[in-house]
Amino acid sequence: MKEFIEKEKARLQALFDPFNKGGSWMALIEPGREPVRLGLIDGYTVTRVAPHFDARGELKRVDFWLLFKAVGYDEGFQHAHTVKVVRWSQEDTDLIDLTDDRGRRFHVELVFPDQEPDLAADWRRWRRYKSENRDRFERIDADLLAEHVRIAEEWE
Amino acid sequence: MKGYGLYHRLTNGDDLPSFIDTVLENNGAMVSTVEKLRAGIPVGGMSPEADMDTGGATYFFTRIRKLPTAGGSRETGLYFKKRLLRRMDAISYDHDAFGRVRDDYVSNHRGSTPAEWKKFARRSSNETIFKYSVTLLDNIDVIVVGSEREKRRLLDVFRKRRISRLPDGRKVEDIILVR
Repeated sequence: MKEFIEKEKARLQALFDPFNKGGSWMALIEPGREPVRLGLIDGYTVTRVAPHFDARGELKRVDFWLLFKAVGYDEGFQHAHTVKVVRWSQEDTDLIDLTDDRGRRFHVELVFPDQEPDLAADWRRWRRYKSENRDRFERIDADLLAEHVRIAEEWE
Repeated sequence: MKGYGLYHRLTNGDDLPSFIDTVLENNGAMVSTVEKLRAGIPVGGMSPEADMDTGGATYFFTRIRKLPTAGGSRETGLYFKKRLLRRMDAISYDHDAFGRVRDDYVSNHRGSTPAEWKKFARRSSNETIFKYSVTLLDNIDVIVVGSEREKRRLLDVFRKRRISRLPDGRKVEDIILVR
C-alpha cells in the first residue's frame, strides 16, 4: 500500500511540474459568488493522497491534499494554503481545474510570456528574488511544509 | 475556552527577537498588509495579490489553537489572548477562506460562540482575522522561541526598551517559553 501511495503521489505531483517550472496563476470560483483572482502561484506540492476502493477492491478515485503558495508568501503564513482536492480535470497540459471538498473550484493556468508579458516579468522577478534569498526561503519552505503536512494529516 | 489562544506564526524568515524588536520600534502592533503599505514598510519581494481581491489585505491573520501552556503543541510563534475573539471586527472561519470578507461570506460562515471556536480549533487550517492591527503588549499571552539563546536575545529586546512587565502585570520572562 505504501508503495502504491508513493506512486500515486508522484503521479499527481507530476501534473504540477509544468506549473512549478514555468509559473502559473490561479482563480478561485465558487458557485454564486464573484470569482477571486489568487494571482501568481509560486508552487504546488502534493502532501497527502487518500485512495478510495470499492467493495471488490477496485480503485474508485484518489483524493489528495495540495499545498500551494502564492507569490509573496514570505509576507505572511496566510499566503500558503492547503486544499483537499476531490476532483480534477485537465483539458490540456497548460491548465488544470481542481475542485475541493467544499465545492470550490480552483482554475490554474500556465503563464504564457508572449501573451502575458507582465505576468511573465513578475514571475521572473519573483524567481530572481527567491534565488537571491535562497537560505531564507529554505527556512521558510521547510517550516511551511511541516505545518501543511500536519494540516493535511489532521484533516478529518 | 480555557487554554485556547490565537496563534500567529512568522513566515518572513526572521527570528523572533529581531521581529519583536521591529514591532516595538514601530507602533507596537501586528499589522495587516495594507497597514504595512500605508506605513511605508517595504515589501521585500512581491506583494501577494489574492488578499487584495478578497478584502483580506486589511486584516491581521491568526489561527485558534490550544495554548502551549495548556497541552497544545509548542510551535514557535506568538500566541495572543483569546479575549481578542470578542472584538467586533474579529472574523473566525473553520477553514482557509483566503481572507474572504466580502458579500455574505462572513455572515454565512463566521463562527461567533465559544463552542464554535473550540470546534474550529480542531481544524489546523482555521483562520481568525482582525481588521488592521492587533497591539502586541496588551494582547500577547505566550511567545514560544526556538532556543534558550533566542529567549535571552528576546529578553534583551524588551530590556532595551525598559519593559519588564506586561500591562496585565505578568513578568516578561514568564511569558517566553522555549520550544
